[in-house]
Formats: sequence, structure tokens, C-alpha cells
Amino acid sequence: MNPRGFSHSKLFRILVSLFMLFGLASWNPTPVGSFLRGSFHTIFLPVERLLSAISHSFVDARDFLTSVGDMKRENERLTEENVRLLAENSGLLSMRDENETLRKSIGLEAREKFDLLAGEVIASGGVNERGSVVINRGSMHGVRSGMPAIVGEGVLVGIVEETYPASARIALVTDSDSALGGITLVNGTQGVVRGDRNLGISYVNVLQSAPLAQGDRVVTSGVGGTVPSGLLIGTVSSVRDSGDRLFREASVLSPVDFGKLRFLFLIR
Amino acid sequence: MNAFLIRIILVVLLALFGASVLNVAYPDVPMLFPIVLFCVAVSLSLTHGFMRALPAVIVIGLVCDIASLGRLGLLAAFCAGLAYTVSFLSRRFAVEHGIMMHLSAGVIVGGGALGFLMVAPWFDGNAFGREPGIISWGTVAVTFGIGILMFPIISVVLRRVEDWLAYFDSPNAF
Repeated sequence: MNPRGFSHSKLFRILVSLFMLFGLASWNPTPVGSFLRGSFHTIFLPVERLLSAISHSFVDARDFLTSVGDMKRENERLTEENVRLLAENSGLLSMRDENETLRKSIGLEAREKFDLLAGEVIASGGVNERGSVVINRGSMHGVRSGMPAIVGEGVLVGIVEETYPASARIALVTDSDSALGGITLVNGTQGVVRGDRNLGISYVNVLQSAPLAQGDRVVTSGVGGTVPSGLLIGTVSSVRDSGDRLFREASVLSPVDFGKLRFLFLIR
Repeated sequence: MNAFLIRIILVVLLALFGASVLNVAYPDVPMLFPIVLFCVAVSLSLTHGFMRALPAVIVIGLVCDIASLGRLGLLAAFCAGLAYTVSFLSRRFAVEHGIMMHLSAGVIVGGGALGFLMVAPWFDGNAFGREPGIISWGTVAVTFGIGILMFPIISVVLRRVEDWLAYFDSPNAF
């Protein structure tokens, strides 16, 4: 084949294109990617806010319509749970009073109250970035990398990974690259909380001798200093040996439906 | 307004629609955005020919990579690969425009989306595509089904948009 002809052929162009694009994806130039994503999400923030608001409204309406049939059963379940939680709450309130009295008597400071910054999810990662969302708060609002993101009274959902002027990218706890120190309530078993293929959460590197069972609640240990201790991550749903059998590991079920995440709070 | 500028706006709108509508409203169907994008790439390749469509396909893929927080170049590479595949096959098998062409293109789009679903996590350092059960037969069926359903719709919409843009390109516009 004529070399000049080949260099103008479709096959040559697609091979060169694929080589360059897959090369770019493998190289993954973080500063360039971060700059481009930052610029994009800053320029088009108003459109993203509008589109995501419409999407969230659509999801709410769809969920309402599809859940009508289950409402009676769900209502009964929630009523039962409410009674159980009321009983648990009254016990916890008396323990809190007791705890505060004891902390005062031994001169400890009161537990920290978080300074929170609310944000709304305006975009979500696709197939290759299911463990990420973008919120409408950025460096101009005081958002910094490493800030923990929570929902409710203190359920950890992720950590700020990249900040842009008016938005920020949050790596969810399900993100494959996320890892932070965890500890179980009651037993105090320490381990590492890791994202499991962007789909779930794993609790790994738990010593074989440490107690770990289904139903244990995992919270942040505060090791490392960036994430406060005591933020709920989830409940252990199953326990198994690690692949090399040196440690034990568990699947952790978060109370948060990450697919329906809309509002969250950053701890400043 | 300049037709080139309108094209850029449409590309950005497609990327925003994927990241802020499809990924938000359908988090349990993560292949939906890639399928829509691949339908656009394949449709452009069939309408304009691979050589003319390639630059546009790569730009659309890159913009969608940026909007969807993914690895830069990955969606673009799949778009380019699918555009070439459909162009190659349409020449070899001389498929007439019609139901068979839409069906074949939809199957190629579905196959591309499945390939993307399996390959993308490798770039993230894990390989869930290699684990049996994660990509179930249900996922395969749904992906091909969405691809076959979406392609005719998107190709018709794209053709209408192209006709509309041709008006802006013509010297008689305004």
C-alpha cells in the first residue's frame, strides 16, 4: 500500500485517534482535568442548577407515584420504628445528661458542634465516576479539599476532592479511591472504610482477633484529623475473611441512598 | 447566529443533559448517558461519513468526559471507535437506511455501551467488569434494548437539527 495513501486512510486516522485518546485517559493529567472541569462547572453552573432542579423534581414525582402502593406497609413499618426510636431516644437523652454532668465534673470540653455549609448536588458522575457528585458550593464559599460532607445529623457521605470557584467535586464514600479510618460502636473494632467499586462500602483491615458482627455500626474514628470522629458510615451487613486471610472485612450498608442524594452539608 | 456557535451550544447542552439530568434522574441506569452519546456519534458518522464526523465526534466525547467527571478521553475514544465501526460495517455490508440499519446501529451502540461499562472501571484501578455477576444478563439485555430503542429517536432528532443548522449555514439565512 502507498504509505502516503495509508496516512490519509480511515484506518490510520482512527488508530491515531484511539492511541491518543486512550493515552490521554491512561495518563489522566489531573491539573488539566481539574482545570477543565472547574471551568466547565463554573461557566455552566446556572444551567446545571436549573437542569438538576428539574431532574430532582422529576425523581420526587416518579418516586411518589411508584411508592403509592407501598405506602400503607411503609407507614406501618415507620410507626413501629418510631415507637422503638422514641424509647431508644429517651434512654439516650438521660445518658446524654449523665454524660454532660460527668464531662463537666472531670473538666472536659463539650462535644463539638459542627459549623455546616449546605450544598445542592448539581451533577453526578457517570459509569466511570459513579462515586462522585458536584455541588453548587466552591472555593468562593469557603470550600476546601478534604472537607467532610454529611447528611442528616451526621451521616458521612463523602469528602471534597476538588474545588472550583463556584462548585466542588465530592468523592463519595463509595468511591473506589476513598479510604478513611473507621471504628465500630460498642466493640471499638478499628478498620479502614473503603469504597467498593463505586457501588458500596467495605470495612477492611480488621484484625482477625477483633470482634466484628452483622449489625455493628461503623463510625469515623477521626484518625488523620481531617474527618471528625463519630460520623456514621453505616451498618455491617456481612463479614468475611480478606482474600489473603490475614484480616477480616465486612460489607457496610449506608443509610443514605447515594443515587438520590440532593442536599448535603460540608463540615467547615 | 453563527451555525458553528449553535453547534457548540448543542454539544454543551448534550453534556449538561447527561451529567445533570440523566445521571441524576437515573442513577441506577448508568449506561444511559453513554448510550445517548454513542447514538449521537454513530448517527453523525452515518450522516456525514466517518472522515467528516471524526473531529466533531471527538470534541463531543471530550466535552462529555469533562461534564461527567470521567477520565479525559475515555468517552471520546469510545465515540470515535464506534463511529469508525459503524462506518466500516455500513460500507462492507451495504445496509440500506431503514429498520435494519437502525437495528444494526442500535446493537453496535449497545455493544459499545457494554464495552464502556466493562473498560471504564479498569482506568479507576479496579476491574469489576472481570467479576462474573456484576454485569448480569439483565444489564446486557437492558443495554442492548435501550440502544435499539434510542438510536432511531436520536438519529431522527439529529437529522432535524442538521436540517435546521443547514439553514443557518446557507447564504440566504437572515
